[in-house]
Amino acid sequence: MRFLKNLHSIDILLFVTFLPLFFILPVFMKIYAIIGLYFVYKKRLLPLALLGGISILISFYDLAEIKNFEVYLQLLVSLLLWAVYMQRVKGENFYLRLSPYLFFGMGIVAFQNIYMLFYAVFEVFVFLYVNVKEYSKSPLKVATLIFLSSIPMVVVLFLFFPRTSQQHFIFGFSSKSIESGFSKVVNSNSKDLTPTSYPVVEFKLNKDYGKLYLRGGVFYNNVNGVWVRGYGRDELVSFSKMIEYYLKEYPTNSKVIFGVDLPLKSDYGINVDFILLSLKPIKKPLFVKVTSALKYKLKPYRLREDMFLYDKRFNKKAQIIAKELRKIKDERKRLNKLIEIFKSQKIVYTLKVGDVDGKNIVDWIFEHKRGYCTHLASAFALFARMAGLGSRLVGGYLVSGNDGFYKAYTKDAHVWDEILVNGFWVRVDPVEFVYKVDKKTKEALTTPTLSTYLSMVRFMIETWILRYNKKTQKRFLESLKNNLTSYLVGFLGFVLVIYLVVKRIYKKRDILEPLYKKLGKRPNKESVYRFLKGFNDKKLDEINELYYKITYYKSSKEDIKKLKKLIKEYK
Amino acid sequence: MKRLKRFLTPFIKVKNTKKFWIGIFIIVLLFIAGYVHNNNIAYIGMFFVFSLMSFSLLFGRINISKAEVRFEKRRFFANEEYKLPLIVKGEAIEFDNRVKFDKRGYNDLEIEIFSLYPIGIAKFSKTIKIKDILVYPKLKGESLKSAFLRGEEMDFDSLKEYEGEGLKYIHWASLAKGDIKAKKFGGESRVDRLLFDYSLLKGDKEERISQLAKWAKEAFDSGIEFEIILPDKKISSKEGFDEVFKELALY
Repeated sequence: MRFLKNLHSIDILLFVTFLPLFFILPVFMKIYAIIGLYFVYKKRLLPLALLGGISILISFYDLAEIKNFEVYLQLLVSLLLWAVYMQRVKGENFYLRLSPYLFFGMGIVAFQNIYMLFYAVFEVFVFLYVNVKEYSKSPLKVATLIFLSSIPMVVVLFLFFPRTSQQHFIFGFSSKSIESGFSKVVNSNSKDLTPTSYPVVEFKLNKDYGKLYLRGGVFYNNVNGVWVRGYGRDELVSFSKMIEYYLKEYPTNSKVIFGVDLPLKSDYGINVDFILLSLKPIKKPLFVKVTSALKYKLKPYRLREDMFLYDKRFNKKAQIIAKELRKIKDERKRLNKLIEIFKSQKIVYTLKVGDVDGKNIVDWIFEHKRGYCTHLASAFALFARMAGLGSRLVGGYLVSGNDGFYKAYTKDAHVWDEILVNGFWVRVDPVEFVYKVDKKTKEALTTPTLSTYLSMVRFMIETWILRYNKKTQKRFLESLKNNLTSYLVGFLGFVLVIYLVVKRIYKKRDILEPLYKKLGKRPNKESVYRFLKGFNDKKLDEINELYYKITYYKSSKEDIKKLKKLIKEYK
Repeated sequence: MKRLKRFLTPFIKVKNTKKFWIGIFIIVLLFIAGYVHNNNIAYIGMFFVFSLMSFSLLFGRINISKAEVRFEKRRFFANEEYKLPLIVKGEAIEFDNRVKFDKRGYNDLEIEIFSLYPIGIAKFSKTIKIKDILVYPKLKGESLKSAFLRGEEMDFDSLKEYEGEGLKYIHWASLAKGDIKAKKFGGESRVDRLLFDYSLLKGDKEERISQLAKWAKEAFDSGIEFEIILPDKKISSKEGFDEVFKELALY
């Protein structure tokens, strides 16, 4: 506790600004940062200098790595920390006072995420508070006042300050092993599944379109129950219901960018299966502008045998049922009949499936009447092939909208079918044909509403604040031009709220107010001193003197307490 | 309107401090970080520093425009240096309160108050005028004792509190004990009433008034009654210290 009592403003500033940088330091520097505090407290310069030097040497022995900006920044922070510790032992000086500003600058370069945004604003407030503390008797109040008053100006400057670049320097520290929930194969032998909630992709649309399929991969070949990509090429015949949006792809460690089915255009590449692909595995958040068509007609460039292939050694029972269906000439009707049969099986959607016979998946499903998307899509695709309809599996995510905001987690990974009907691919999701969803599965797959709303706020902040650039500014200015009145009213309302809060904080409640009520009048164009003297009352004179002292001299809490008591007792 | 008028008063002077230029330097650095990498957090930091500095200047100006100085009444004699008993309303207000009046009578005083509130990026100052401070004449001339009590029998009578008397009046024995006393002589107590006649004094008007003031002060200090005879009026010590000195100050 004595240690805390001896803390100076500079210590608070150094701690606050260094804190986020602690997490980017190499292990040895982290240890030095913690142990160093003890030596600073004990004012032992030599161990600080030696330990710091050794830690830096161990952490950055490979000078070639400094080419990497991440390592370069780590080195800069480490050197500054070393210098700060040694300077702090000597006492406060100019260099030490400059250090929090350097830490602040390094912090905002090291992290460009929503947490850093809020933390940087907090740091600015702490800087303000420490500066105000030197000159004001009530620093917290004054700092809050100045800070709140500044916000409207910051908003205006942020929105209108000319931006010249569309590029964003993305530098952050992200995980190198992230699951996407999406796999390069679809294995219908998969057993029980435990859903995880790592975010994969998110975007905001102008309006809510309900459930949307995010396309990630197309699978043609089934080998012993495992679906693999195979070769395919599609031709887009027609499309409508276009949507344009910016999506944020979380680090998935794969190249796939999950665009809304069917993605047509993006800043990145698109393959023959209409899958968006990045050039390298996504290891840091990726922001992509995508155009998709919600309605489209897609057909294979040419019909190939592998679209109809199935292993005749397996699913014998299903083959018998399907054989009958081949008699239906109209492919649409045949598909409807397939769906009807599938529905009649009263399959329960569950993540607890036990042992699955992936090779005989259709028979297994019809017998055990349970499974999840992988099993259902696999079974339906094979069943369709048995009935003479071409089919393939499409993997990706299935997400529901929340006021137009969509966010896919790993647990939303999904597989559905595309069935070839009259030469065109038709999306069929066998999960829609299940009899019911197992209660525990339903609970496991539901995302709490609050979490969704928080995600939406976060996404909006990222889009409109962290990624605000020349293009977004142009969009904003166009929108401003079209809705000038509503923007103006909104902004003035915002300023008014700030003004009212500031006024409320600033307004000093007159301590003499209860006394004026008792006296039945208040000073009018005369000083309080003269007003109270005019009563020629000894008790009022005592109140007057104390009030005068409190107002014009340095007052203590006891004085204020005493004055309140005198006013209360006055009759 | 009154508030606005007070706020816009041209008498407020603003001088940027070193901290202000450090703030500008930080703005430039943040701009470079924001511009080069299109780093919006750096931009936000820059806008905050700019806005906070702007509002600090505004709050500082409001503070100094609202600052008031109250002056506690006390006795001033010309040609003597005082620390003005000023009481100030406002945050972090500072001023130089040393003052010396050159002439007797009513004087006007200008005091420059200044403040670095709220974050020390600018020094706000304004001049406050205090009008009609009554300054009593300077105390100069021969002492009462040497002028009126010369040749009298000066037998030691008793001890009294030391009030700045000469060396010969100090009771050294009491000083050694840590309590300074002055010796009171028999001759002093025999004088009941003195007359100070303006016309009998030498020198110009100011010298005569200063002499009268010195005698009056010493007489009041010693509890001796007196009367001052001016060419057109008489002032009695019975009127009280302040009345006597007001007459002398304004004569």
